[in-house]
Amino acid sequence: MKLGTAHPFLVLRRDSSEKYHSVEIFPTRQTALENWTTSTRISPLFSLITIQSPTSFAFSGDWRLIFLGPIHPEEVLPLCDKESRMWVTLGLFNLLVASPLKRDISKLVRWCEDRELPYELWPVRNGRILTPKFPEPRQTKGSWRKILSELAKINLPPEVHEAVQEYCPLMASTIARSELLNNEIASDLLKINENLFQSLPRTGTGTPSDVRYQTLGQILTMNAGLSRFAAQTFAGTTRITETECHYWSNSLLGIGTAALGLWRLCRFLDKTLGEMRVPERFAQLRLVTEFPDLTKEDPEKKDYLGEVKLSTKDLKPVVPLLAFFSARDGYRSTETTISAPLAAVSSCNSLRWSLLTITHEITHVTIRGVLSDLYPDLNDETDLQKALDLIEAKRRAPTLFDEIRRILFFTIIKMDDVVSERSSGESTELDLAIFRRLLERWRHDVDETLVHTFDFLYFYGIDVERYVRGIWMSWGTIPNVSNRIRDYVLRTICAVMAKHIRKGPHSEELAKKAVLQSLRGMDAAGGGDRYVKLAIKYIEEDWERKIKPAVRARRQLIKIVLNFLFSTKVATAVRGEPEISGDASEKEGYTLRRGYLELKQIRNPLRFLELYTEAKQPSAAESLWMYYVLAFCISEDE
Amino acid sequence: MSDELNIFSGLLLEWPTRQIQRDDLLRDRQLRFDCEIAGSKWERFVYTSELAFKGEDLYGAKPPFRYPIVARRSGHRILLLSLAKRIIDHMVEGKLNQVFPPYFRRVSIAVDALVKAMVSKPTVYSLTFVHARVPAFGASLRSVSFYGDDLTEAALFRDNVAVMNFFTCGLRYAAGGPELMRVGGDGSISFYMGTPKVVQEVESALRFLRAEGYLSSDIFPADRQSDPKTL
Repeated sequence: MKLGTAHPFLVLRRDSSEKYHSVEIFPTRQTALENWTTSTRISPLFSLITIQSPTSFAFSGDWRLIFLGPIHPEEVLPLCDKESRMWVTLGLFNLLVASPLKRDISKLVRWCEDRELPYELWPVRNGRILTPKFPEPRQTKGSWRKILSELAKINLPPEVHEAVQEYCPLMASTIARSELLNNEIASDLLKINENLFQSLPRTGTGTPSDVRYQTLGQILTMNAGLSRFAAQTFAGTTRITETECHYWSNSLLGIGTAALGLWRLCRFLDKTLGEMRVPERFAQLRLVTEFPDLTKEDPEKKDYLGEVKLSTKDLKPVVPLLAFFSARDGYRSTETTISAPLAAVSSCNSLRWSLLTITHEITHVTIRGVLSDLYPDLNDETDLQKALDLIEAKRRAPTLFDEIRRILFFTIIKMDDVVSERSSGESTELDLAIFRRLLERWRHDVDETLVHTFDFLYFYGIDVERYVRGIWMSWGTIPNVSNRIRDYVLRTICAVMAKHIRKGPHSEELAKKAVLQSLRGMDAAGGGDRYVKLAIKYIEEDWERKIKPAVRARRQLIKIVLNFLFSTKVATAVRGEPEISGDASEKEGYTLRRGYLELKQIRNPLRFLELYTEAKQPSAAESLWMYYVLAFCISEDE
Repeated sequence: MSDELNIFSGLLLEWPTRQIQRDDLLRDRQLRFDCEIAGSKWERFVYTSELAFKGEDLYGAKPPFRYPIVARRSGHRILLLSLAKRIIDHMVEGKLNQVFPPYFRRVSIAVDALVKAMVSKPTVYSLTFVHARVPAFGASLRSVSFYGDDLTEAALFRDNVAVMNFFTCGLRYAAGGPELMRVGGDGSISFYMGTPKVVQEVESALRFLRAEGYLSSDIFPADRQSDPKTL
């Protein structure tokens, strides 16, 4: 079932009598804008080659239109007859079928009712919508109502209380709608809600101000995410005429299928990386007392994380992150939410707006967990002193975990030495205040170096060219990126050094050459904007003096990721794909064809994105195809 | 006849609309029915093509070129094989996709699950070879292959199964004998047809795969429980 190249626009508006809505398909957005009224709403449609799918249609005479979904179009295609027209959409009602024949549409209505698939039927005469028909909404008895009503009653500081009063109806509305349209999303929302309910401090006005404002920030973040998620996902579902999406180019049908695709991608990451519990496994290295000398170039390689046995009864459930699109936040993760840029809705086929960038944000969540364990509490002098003692002891620590901390702290001192142009022999005398300042100053840099290396190993499969092209293309979307070139160059070379670190003293040079080669390749292929040229120039001119010493100072950070955060077991879960074939002509084992809506199952959305996100130019139709694969073709069966 | 001329490769396919009839295939005018293979439900056809799929044109041969096609129809499914898989790919991508609306789809074979199950629970078949991807090490180590008479008996193989995703494998009877067939995750199947009797052994092996749930059917899950004699 091949997607066509055209994408016309479905336009809804009140007709001149103001009593009825009318519907029409316009070939272009311009035509729709020329006919705009106060009540107009619009959404793109995507035409198909296999079935009639006109790009301009006034619905003259008697027609029946059925909106249905979320469903893969191939499941519906055999039910359509010769007179049927079909289009696919980005909404959660992702199929629009129109027919002049009542029996054609009645067959579809019965089919939807048999499988409890949501639909909305519009009888249309000369473009005017008569009385729409849809199934009676199911009323569930979910316990979430009770939880939310309890939550609304909790004694909280005034500002937090106000934010919770906004949260409760917002979450109630989102869960209620998701229960009708997608039980899996509803189930994730229940977990998110339960987690928030449990994490709120119950100390009312006696809550310390730092806790109070931290809590307020968490709720406001959740409210912002929820309102975007709900508006993007559930707008354009029953009743369509009453649910407007504030993403105005999709105000009629919303972008529920794109949201579903993004949610499935994040769910895969929850089920693999999340369930593998990297921070919890890492914390168990406290129990390891026999370990090699980590300061050696190539310590004995073991799968330390993979060998950790976790007791499931002590583990808190993995709470899904709420995933949504945001024009303002772009790619961003918090403790409870994760966002992708709104531009990715119509551009995710291109490297610049690749959804694979979300792995970087997810990695931040993981590394945040690891670093919060490694770092001492900077407000707790006893904890800080213990950390300082590790350095001053001048001998290896008793446990592997503490030895990793010791090496981390020494690395931070080295990083500071390089910037301050001190030789390592003349490092500053440390006291608690200086040590605290050092840790504060370098935390972000340490975090980014660990995240980039982790991302390179797990999600980019140690493929230097793919990694460099992927991250540098995506950085092109950041305003004023030129100001950050130095940091980005350093992080890229550090991550790539993970591939060469066993090669000892040559590893920095090898990493530099590999990165430079990839950047030059991008530049030569026309993918190098000005900032890529600046990066090449910076490496060529400042390698010896500035970059190499900084890379060398971070060497132990790379080794920490490679030896103690990389696990073959975890990587197999994250990168594995059993649904592959072996034909050399196919895309590294996938038989999916770009632009064909085929109901083929895959298991690993990351592998899919890795292989199929390669366009230089954004395309709404290709992006839609990718969301359809993510939304409808990801199998979670064991 | 050389061995190469007796290796048949192709695809296991399905059509959602109805059971596949011989006449459906013959709507592709390039296909001509030849005969039934004695003692089986398999059929032979001849495919006439203007394209040379075996390099015949390199030696001055002129079109049309003729290729034997072996088929086994079974309900909504059909196994189509010829002297090269690209002949079947060409047929399917060309006329057959039009003959079988709305679509003619490959039946995927869960090779990864099959191999892992054969390691944990041996069957009457044994593994003669596997190709696998090794996802954990990315570009550093992409794929591996193992060859032997009975791979699951080798500890080196068993110990590393968890880190591999298998996409092609070869099967033989555990009791002995030559390799029966090779199957791929994308529904590709190939076998050496030394004697016509081989098709029955291949059919038995396919029935085994079907009975154990390794043949996917996204649109007709109920079909898995239907007649045990179908593919």
